[in-house]
Amino acid sequence: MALNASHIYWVNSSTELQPSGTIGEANLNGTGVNQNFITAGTSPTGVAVSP
Amino acid sequence: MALAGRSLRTLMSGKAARNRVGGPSRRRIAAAGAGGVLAAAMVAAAAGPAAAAGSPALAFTPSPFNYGQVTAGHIAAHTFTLANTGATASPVLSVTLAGSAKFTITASTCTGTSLGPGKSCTVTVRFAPASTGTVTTTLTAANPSHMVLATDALTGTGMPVSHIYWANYGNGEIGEANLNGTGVNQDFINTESGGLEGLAVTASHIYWASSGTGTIGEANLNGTGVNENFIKDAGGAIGLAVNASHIYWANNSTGKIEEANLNGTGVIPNFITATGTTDEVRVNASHIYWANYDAGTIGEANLNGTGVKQNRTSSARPPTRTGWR
Repeated sequence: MALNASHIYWVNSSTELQPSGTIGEANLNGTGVNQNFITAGTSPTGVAVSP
Repeated sequence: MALAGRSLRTLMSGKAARNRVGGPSRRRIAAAGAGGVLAAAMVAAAAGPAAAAGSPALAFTPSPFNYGQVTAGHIAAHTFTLANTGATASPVLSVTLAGSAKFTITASTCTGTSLGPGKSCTVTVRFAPASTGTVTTTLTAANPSHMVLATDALTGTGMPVSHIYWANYGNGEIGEANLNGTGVNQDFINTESGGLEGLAVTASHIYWASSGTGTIGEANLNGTGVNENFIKDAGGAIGLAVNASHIYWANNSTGKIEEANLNGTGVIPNFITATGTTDEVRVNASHIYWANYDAGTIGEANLNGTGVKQNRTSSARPPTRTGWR
């Protein structure tokens, strides 16, 4: 999981229904959840945001 | 600056002033005044103190001016006012910048005009950093003979463009994208080692833990300078965290939080002992935190490793894997 001043990001591992893992994103107050913000590889593990 | 509106006669009185304005270097006297605002009496002063008494006095506002932090590739613009608080009109003006090319004049109502008493004009300067770092320039108003009448010191700092990065465990690739989700590059860094676990970034570098090689890797934030063996003998490293001076990792095999200097030296394998299996670590300005997977707690310690508390918070479920990743 990673944070910056406005958003929170996390990784979603791949599933049978979704063969590619994803990076999820939401506003820091928990709204605006987007589970498919970025399509990653099959098994994303870490996520980080540059300053 | 407080000099605004003061004539050269005020600044240099008596014989000294008469000597200066009559000397061969009088056109350069006003250049680079402290604070950037200069008496604009040079033309009249050159003719003698009597003429200087009724001279124009030009000053930019605001002065000095700092554009602050601007992300590289973005633009910040500001409009400056040049006012004549003197008693007579200024010469025909030219306005220029001398310094970093990241500053440009995009509009000017001053250039080619004579500014009457009590009148003002404006100059818009754009700061557009293409790279990081603090740069400066001097905004100058001059007469047709290039005699400096007023200056303004401008500063701006280019900041790195923010990106999001992720580690792909299976293929050893580190992906990168813009913070809005565009520009996805799945193969931003190919570590060729696989088993990527933790990921951490600073303003200049990216770090990753590889369970495949038991090392911590490092690269520049633009993807160059890949060093897969930045820290060797880091087997079991999973979670990573960095601050301005150190890198920390959670060793899933030993249940230790390990520490090294940010240049990779000074590895301390037993920096902090967790309660058992641990696989995540975070730092802030004063403390380090880790996940005690078996105990279901969050541990805390001071950044020097003292003051260890294994039960900073507790949870019914292990806090790792789904909690911090």
